[in-house]
Amino acid sequence: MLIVLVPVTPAAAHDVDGVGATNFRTTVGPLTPTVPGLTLRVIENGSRLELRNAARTDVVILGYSGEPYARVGPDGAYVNDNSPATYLNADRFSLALVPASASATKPPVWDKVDSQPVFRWHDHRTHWMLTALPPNVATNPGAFFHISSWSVGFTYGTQELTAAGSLDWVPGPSPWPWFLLLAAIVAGLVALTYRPRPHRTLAVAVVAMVVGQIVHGVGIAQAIVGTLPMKLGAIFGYDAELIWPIALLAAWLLWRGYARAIWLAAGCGAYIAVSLIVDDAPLWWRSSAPSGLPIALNRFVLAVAIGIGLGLVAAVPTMLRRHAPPSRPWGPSTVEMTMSEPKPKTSTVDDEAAEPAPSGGIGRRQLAGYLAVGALGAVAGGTIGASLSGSSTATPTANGPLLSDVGSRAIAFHGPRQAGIADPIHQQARVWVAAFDLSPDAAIQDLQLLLGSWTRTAQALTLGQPLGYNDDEVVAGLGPSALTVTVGFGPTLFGKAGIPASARPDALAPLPAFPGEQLDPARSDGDLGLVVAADDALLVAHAARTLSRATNGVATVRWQMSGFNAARGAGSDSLTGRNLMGQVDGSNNPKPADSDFEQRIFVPQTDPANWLRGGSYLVVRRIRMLLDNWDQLGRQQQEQVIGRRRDNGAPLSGGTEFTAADYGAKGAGGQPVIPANAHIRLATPAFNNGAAMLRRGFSFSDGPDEGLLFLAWQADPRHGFIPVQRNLLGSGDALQTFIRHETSAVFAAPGGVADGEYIGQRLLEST
Amino acid sequence: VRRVLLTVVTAGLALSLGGCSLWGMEGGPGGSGAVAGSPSPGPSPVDAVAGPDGVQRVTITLGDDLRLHPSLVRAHPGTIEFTFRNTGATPHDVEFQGVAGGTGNLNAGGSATVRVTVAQPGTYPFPCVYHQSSGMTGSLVVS
Repeated sequence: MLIVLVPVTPAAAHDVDGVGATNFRTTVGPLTPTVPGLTLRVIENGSRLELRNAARTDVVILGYSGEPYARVGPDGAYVNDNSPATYLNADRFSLALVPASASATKPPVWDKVDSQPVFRWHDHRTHWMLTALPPNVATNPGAFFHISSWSVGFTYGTQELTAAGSLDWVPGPSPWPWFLLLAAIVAGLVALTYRPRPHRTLAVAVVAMVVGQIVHGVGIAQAIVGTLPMKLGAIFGYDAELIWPIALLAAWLLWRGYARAIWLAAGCGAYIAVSLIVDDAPLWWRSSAPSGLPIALNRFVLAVAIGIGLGLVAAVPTMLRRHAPPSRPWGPSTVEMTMSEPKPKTSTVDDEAAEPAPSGGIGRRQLAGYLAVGALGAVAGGTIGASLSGSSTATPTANGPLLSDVGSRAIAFHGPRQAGIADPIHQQARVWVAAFDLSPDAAIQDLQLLLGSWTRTAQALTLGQPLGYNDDEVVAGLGPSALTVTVGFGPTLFGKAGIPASARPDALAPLPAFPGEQLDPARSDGDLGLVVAADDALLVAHAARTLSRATNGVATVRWQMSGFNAARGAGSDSLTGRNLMGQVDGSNNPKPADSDFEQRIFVPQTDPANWLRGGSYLVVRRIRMLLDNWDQLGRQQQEQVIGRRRDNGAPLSGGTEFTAADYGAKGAGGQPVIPANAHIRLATPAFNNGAAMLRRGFSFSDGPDEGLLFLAWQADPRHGFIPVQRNLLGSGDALQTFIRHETSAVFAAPGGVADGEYIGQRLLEST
Repeated sequence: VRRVLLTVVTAGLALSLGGCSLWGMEGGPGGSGAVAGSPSPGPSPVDAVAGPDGVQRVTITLGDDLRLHPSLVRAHPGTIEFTFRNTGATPHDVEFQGVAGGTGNLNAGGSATVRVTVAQPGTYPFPCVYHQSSGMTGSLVVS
């Protein structure tokens, strides 16, 4: 019964990049002709190839049609966005979608993927791609087979290089020696319980089992070519961290002499043994495994950990019968001893010793008491915490009156990043976006004064403080209401007001023209960009007017737009906002908890422009929605266009709104469930080389003018908006029929503002 | 006590019997429960059928078994029109050798029509360039 109840971890848990223990062996010969500094090797037990280039010249890896696929050289590694291999090689079994824009015959578009001169890829020429064995291998799996010879081509300057390799089936050893070792350990543990005092030895065995699982995990971590978190994930990433403390508790209790802790130890043992058997037992009879440990040691550790785990389960009956006091009502019933049982008398003596004297430590009842108090405490704490966060707290302000949680929410203006980019993560209800052009005679001092004034204004308004102006009363009595003011610099600012054109970052270029778009230049671009957002329309209007007034001849408004979302409190905060098409918008946004969130949204600390570190690029597009046409589609047609259900936002492949879309899912008739031209498919980072942005869209609706004020933040538009938009248009995004991009602008928002600093100070005072 | 022992033994048995699906295509000890690929019975040739316009036509499906169905096409000199349908989840790209023609990338669910004009009798292979080393190739025999 015990084993059946144990949850089983997925078999993939101990794979490295899709490869577990296997008899397939990929080997690669040297690159010919030999070039000093170039090394090619097989990594992750055959899952990937790795090319390192310590030479000064770039080496180009050729794809399946002989096209340039990847480039490795002194300035890092690049992939060709036009090579189908770029998409195919992202997955071990090439379950990918190659965008229509990619073609082996197009000139390469290089995209940097690594600053180190090293590149690793799943090359499908080099490993077994089917999910069934080759027929000849299946009929005689104990024999060696050469399955295929493969070669990969490279160019090094004008030189052509080749690496030849082989895919073979190498039969594994007999698992029987390990089965015998395992059986011996099980028998040993059971025999141990016939001895007078097995408690401490069993405790040591429990610890040894945990150590065995850790050593095994460390071996896998060593085989992973990747980041430290990925390596740690191999050791701690699944059930282990849950079960180890319980196992150690069991060991401690056994050490203290509690015979009944064998139940706990056996539970942990069954769990660890079953998950290791499911994940790793093939190690015993296959010829290779992804692990940094010598394979014999790995097999030994596995046999010890599984043997102890199963042995603890097998030891439960005798342990209870011989060492647990029989007087307890919930103890096991006393079983008639068989003839072979030695010295029942001794056993009785042991029983007394097994239950420690009250002075020797906490008694069993006390322990139960502690556990109960602890559990009650946790429940009480959780309840109080939930009620605190769930209730609508009324916060008193300095002026006395109580504000609702909508009004009282303040977003810190100072910090390592500007507010309004990722904070608050649930975007506000109202927005005003504007662009300003500098006056031709504006000097750098004028610009410094303007940004200083904007800084003071933003600082006061985000705290809900008056500014000392005549119109302060417009917002009298209102709280900060999550007001944020975010400032960005347009590409055209550089070269004006004494800021050298050369200071413009490469990524801050006007967006390229996209096919078919008709933009209104008067409502596009601009030298300075401002985004003001809050949960209240009056606050936004007041801030917009105050900030505009401060430009005072230094700059003039080029364009301004307003937008809205559902008011805070009108619906649940946990819901993703909807746009005027009725679709949830932003479900697949990067989340702050994602490990790559910062990397995708914020300019890294290594950026050459120090004013931009911790900053972000904003793309603004006013997108008109042709709602009359859209409304003519039925629900199902609309869902096919987007790729999500209209009611709950779930991808058409099923699940909930936040379930990852399954782009390979097929419906009746073999058609993909999420159509090939569905908006979410073409916009997803997975099909755009990971390009992602944090979209903070707002709706606009002024009579016939209806649509989406698309605001998207990203670390670099060349790896964010630009490739995604290209893919949407190039692959025939179904949504494009119903929308028109009317305006366009891009701004670089500098990093956060420290106390005593003004926005963009590091740019304006370095030049 | 006996019940517990019995449960352990039963569970152990269930595990070893269920081993086939448990440990993937390579199976349990000694290859028990391994997933075998279907042995190719030798390609059964299919003749391209000439239409009223004199063009010979044949349809070929590409699947996740990384095989072409059919993989051997017989035709006479002239124009042969191939319709390639990708019924699997993996993309493919079929390129003719010895004669100009190819599908380009074919994503899941995609199809492409390729016309080749062959004057010389002979054998013209048409592999999937992505899965050639897995044995995904076909032959056009013109006689």
